[in-house]
Amino acid sequence: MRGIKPRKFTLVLFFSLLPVMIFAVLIGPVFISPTKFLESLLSILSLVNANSHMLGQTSTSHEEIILTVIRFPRVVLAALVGACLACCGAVMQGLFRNPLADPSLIGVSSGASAGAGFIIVFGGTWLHGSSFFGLTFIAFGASIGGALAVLLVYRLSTSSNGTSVPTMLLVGIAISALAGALNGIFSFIADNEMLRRMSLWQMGSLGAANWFHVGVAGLAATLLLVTLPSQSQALNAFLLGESEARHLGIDTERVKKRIILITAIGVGASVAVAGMISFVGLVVPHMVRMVIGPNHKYLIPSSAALGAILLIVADSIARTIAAPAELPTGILTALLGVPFFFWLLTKNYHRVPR
Amino acid sequence: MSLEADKLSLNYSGTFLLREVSVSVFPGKVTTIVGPNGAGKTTLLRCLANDISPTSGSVKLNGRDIKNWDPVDRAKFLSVLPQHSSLDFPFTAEEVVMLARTPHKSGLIKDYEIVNAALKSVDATYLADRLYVKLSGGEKQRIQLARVLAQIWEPDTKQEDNYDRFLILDEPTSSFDLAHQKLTLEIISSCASQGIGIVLVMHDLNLAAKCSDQIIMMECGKSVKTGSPKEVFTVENIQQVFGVQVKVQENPENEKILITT
Repeated sequence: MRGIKPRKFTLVLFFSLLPVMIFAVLIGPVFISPTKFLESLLSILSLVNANSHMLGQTSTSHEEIILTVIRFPRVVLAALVGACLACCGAVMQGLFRNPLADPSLIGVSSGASAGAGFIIVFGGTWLHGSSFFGLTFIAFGASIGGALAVLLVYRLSTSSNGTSVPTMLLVGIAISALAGALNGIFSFIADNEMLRRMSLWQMGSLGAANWFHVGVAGLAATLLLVTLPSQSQALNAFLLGESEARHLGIDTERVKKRIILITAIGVGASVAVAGMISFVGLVVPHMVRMVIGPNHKYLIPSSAALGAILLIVADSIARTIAAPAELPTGILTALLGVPFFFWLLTKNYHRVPR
Repeated sequence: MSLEADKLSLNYSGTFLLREVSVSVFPGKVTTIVGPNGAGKTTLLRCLANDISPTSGSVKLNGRDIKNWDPVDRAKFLSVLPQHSSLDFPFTAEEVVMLARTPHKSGLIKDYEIVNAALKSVDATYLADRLYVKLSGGEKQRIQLARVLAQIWEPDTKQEDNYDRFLILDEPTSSFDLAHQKLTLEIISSCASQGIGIVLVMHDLNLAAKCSDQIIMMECGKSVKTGSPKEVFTVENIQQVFGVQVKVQENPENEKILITT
């Protein structure tokens, strides 16, 4: 009953990622013409000044600095974070057997932000978010916070009969409230410098992107895309129910532990580099499922690609719509995601009588 | 080889859900568990399926304790149809049945053959491309039946020991119309004739009498009567366990019995 072949859809998404990235790099408060872009790209690729002299260009142009220092890392970071969040959303929905699970809705992102806050405040002054090591450590703290949140939600809301949506959402609210309180305590203790960095997370912005951020997000995204596809068969069986999956020969306990660990790392790293960006994990897997169905073999890579595209687009809008000022990206995704969530809620839980 | 439960007891916070129940399910035979609501029928099935662990006693599948099997190997010989299944994701019916081939490494071509044959056997070929979530209750149950059949469709030839296959069905006919009830009974007897051992829970005593080789009558977590339908379905036993006065007649044509209230 579906028109498009899953494999083709996945490939199309991956191939359209590059043009989207290039377009996003060009637009902004300063528009960069495609020729300038190519020139800068060539000069970046050429190793020494000698080469750029051959192209008849001065050492570094104004546009080149904008591209290498601001736009490239930002667009790449948007792609990586979008891919991480969408993948995590897709597999969480599979694990919970519920299409409404999303890292930000069920409190995983809040848990991660509390974990990040803890590290920033208590991690010591040598842990600066601007160094690769410091950022990795913050991502680690965020992952632990995220993992605790997933575990708690899963324990409280899932029984042998499946996941109870109201419980899941309520536990999410409770965890978000708890994380908010913890973050309040951390900000109370924090000094000025810490406060400044913490407020970044709570807004959810890609504005601080640099190549360290790209490195951390890149590691997490690589981990997700390497490990998650091997779980796709198990996740497909999981959709039938936990005991059904067990009867199909799936070691359900091991799968659950793995998924919780991997998604916590994915969400943790995303939160550490970009803060709370909500609803990407909810919206993207849904859109993919509508086109190619819930088979995780294609759902996971397609969600990654579409998540990347969507967050690049959202971030491009966020930084151009009120230029030269910037809207935090997280606010924009929430503004777009909330109506979608309402639509899903009414579609799934009101129209069909149960 | 067989699927055997030896003196299963299950104590759940002070209440005995099962009390020393022993069951032997043999290949090629149909064993039906009957009893009033809350007698422990589903609990017994869930113990046999390794969904819950009994407080004492053990379950052996093909001579080996069911807990000591590798999960993938076990899935090749034991297939379970639950009473209710909730699947909220838009798989097509064919994809749902295809999930049954997860434990096997028989190749896509073979898998598609088996899935199509399984769908055909439950009269659901025309549902193959429909979305599972949009099917009716009875249609969903037929797809689930096709799924558990596809899981143990053929004996696993690669296995060195010739293990027998077993099928556990919890109220397989409860949401079926008359025609599909009849079809299910035919499927059960055809599975039995292939050497699959079947254990099921059923509320309709007449259907149970028609398809079973062995009846286990349960009451309050205990198995009170075990034997052939004729031995178990007597006026006295039914009166004692269900508290209902019935007439039991023998059908001269096929030597089966007919229970009427």
